[in-house]
Amino acid sequence: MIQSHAKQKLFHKSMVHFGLITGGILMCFPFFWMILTSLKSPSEVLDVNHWFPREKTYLSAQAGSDPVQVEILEEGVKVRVREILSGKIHQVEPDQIQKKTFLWSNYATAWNKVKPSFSRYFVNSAVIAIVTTFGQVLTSILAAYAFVFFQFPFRNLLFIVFLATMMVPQEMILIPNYLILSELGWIDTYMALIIPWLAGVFGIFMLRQFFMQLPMELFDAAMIDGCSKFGFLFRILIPLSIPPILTISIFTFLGSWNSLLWPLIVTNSQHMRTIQVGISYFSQAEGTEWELLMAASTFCILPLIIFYLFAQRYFVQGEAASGLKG
Amino acid sequence: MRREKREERRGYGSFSLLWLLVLCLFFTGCLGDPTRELTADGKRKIVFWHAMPGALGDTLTSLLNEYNSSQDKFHVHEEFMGRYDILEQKIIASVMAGKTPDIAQMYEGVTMLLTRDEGEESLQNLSPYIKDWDGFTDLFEVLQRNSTYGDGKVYSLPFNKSFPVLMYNKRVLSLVGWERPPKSWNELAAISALVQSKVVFDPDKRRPVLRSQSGDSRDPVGGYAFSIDPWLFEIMLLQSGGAMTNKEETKVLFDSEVSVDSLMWFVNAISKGWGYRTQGYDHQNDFGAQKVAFIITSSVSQKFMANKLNFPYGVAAVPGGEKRDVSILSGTNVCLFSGIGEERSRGAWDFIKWFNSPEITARWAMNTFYVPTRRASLKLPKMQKYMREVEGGRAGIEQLKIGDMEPRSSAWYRCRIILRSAMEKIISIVEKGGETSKIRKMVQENLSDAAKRMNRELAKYSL
Repeated sequence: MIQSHAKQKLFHKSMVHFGLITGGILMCFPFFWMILTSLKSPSEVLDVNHWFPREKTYLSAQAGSDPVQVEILEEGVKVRVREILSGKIHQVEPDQIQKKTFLWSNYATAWNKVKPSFSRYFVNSAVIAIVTTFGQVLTSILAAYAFVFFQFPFRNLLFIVFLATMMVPQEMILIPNYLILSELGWIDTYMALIIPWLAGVFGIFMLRQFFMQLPMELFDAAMIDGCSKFGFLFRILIPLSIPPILTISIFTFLGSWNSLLWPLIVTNSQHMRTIQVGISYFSQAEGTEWELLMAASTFCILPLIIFYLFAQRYFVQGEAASGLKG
Repeated sequence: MRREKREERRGYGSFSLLWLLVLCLFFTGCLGDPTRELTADGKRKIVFWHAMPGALGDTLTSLLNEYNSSQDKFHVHEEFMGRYDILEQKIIASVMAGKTPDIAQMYEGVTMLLTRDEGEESLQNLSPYIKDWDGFTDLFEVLQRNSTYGDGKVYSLPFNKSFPVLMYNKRVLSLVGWERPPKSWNELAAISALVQSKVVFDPDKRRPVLRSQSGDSRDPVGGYAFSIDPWLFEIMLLQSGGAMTNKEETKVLFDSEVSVDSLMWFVNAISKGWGYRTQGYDHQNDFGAQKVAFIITSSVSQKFMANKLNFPYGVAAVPGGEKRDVSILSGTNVCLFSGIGEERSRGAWDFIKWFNSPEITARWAMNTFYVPTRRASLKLPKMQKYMREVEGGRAGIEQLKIGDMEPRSSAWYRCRIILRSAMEKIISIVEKGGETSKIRKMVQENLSDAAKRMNRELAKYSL
């Protein structure tokens, strides 16, 4: 009886693990495909019959030009090769022939192709995302604190008005916002990229919902014990709210890091642009350079993955506490 | 009590830190760029907004560098705006804010919008400049028409103009006994059907081969693949003697019988199995993977596809029509904004004139597969060599002499979206299958419904 119960338990556990592993593989597959694509040649990108890059033969680059992919027709003291794309035939020295499978050079090409440089875009995106996240978390905490723990006229009405602003699509307010920033002289500055995003209704809403779960008596007891309002906020409320605060931080950071439209609208010069603008360089109306786009996407999501790995425990807790997921 | 005060001070400290950060950013932002007007070597800066990334952007940058080093008065400073739709929004916002660039790339609909209020046009009429320039009359006729608006005012000059082209897999065509590209839509349909029934893709040889006599389980090679795009439908409509709108561009004519006939070509491709619909760039990708014999795409797509096509391919002009030999021009123009001052206007004009010189327009075309704008450019030896030797070199250029335009109303962008979604709905219904006898009626009804909605959009802008 006990043995059968243990077997049943083992079976259930195995099924759960099987489901989780399958889900994990499915979730990781796009990333896996992205990395594989980033290591392929342009013609291999389209060859869906072969998942993995194969060995390719290249003719060494002449000064100022890229290596040319060739196929070997005849080997000897001189090697007879045919260019894959143009069909031209050459006799070359054996040391001019290079064999490559994984084209790591796609990463260098993608990195160097945008102007002024991806490193500049990284710095811009990092500064904007970090300051925006810090600001939005702070303003969200303060606003949610006021909405939950203080009584003031029209409190609920004001909160509904706050929520209503979430329903307005960004595209609708783009031009009015541009006009305001233009009047302030902030176009093409960090101000335009950061200040409008220092407060966010989503964060206020999420924290308010979390704070409402806490007993009001906690606040009353702290006040009776002589704690100040800021003291309660910093010594009691914030330590209790780390998971939702981290969730807001991740959402804000991701939103800022992935933003494309806003940075393009409010900045003009290349040195003010962000990482997503750099990625968009490889795709346009008439075609896409897939291998370079995937290489750029890979190095652009790396900081996010690292950030997520550090904060994932809190992120999961925050989701569980708020009932929200990304 | 002391602890309470300390905590309050800590709270205020956090606030102060945030505001200090904000103030730092504010002053960093307000420092501005003192060199905005002039370059270090004293040249007047001409600000040019465009949306040309990647390989096309690189070609543009190298031409701009060449212009800037060719003279000592002006420096064209490019500012990349990502995508056409973002550039359009930004242009409108900058006009409203009164802080425009000097020149910008834009579609005709935006030009119409910015010049609709007489006396308050946001763009300069280039006619006074053109009087002293012999280049305008040397532009291809369709490009002259494209730049000339009501009352003969010229508000733009051509910038990146293209035509659709037919790309075909030479190996597949020779397998079914064809050595030249199809010249009519019926021929394209017939060869596509032949390919679909006779050719399969051999994964071991990594090339298309003829189907074996006995049951062959290898994937068939498709005849024709397409993504939904009103561009081609409009060309077929004009070729069949139809029209997109009335002359005043206040009413669309997509609910006519000839429109239904044109769209039925795509419907037949799906229902008879010799063609299939793809999303986004997938038709280009399928062509590159040798999964389909024919695609029609912008001539400029070749720039992005050429290094992926490791098989013999051909590029030809789109098939001809039954009643009219016509194709539709696409792409943007460059415009000069008003209120930028005399000196900057002179510099901006100097640049766009230079860009449309025979030598430069030829190089722009040879490096990007856009079409050159000047007739004189076709006489240049390097251009003749390009047309003779480069695959696809002639395909776009040949269509210049039969080129026509889409309507230029500011509402056309919205109309195109409506037309595209009507086409998507029709093709989706056909893909799901249904009674063949009812298909034509369904196409008629959907086009008629789209026409009503497009007319409402046109009416908004013709008030």
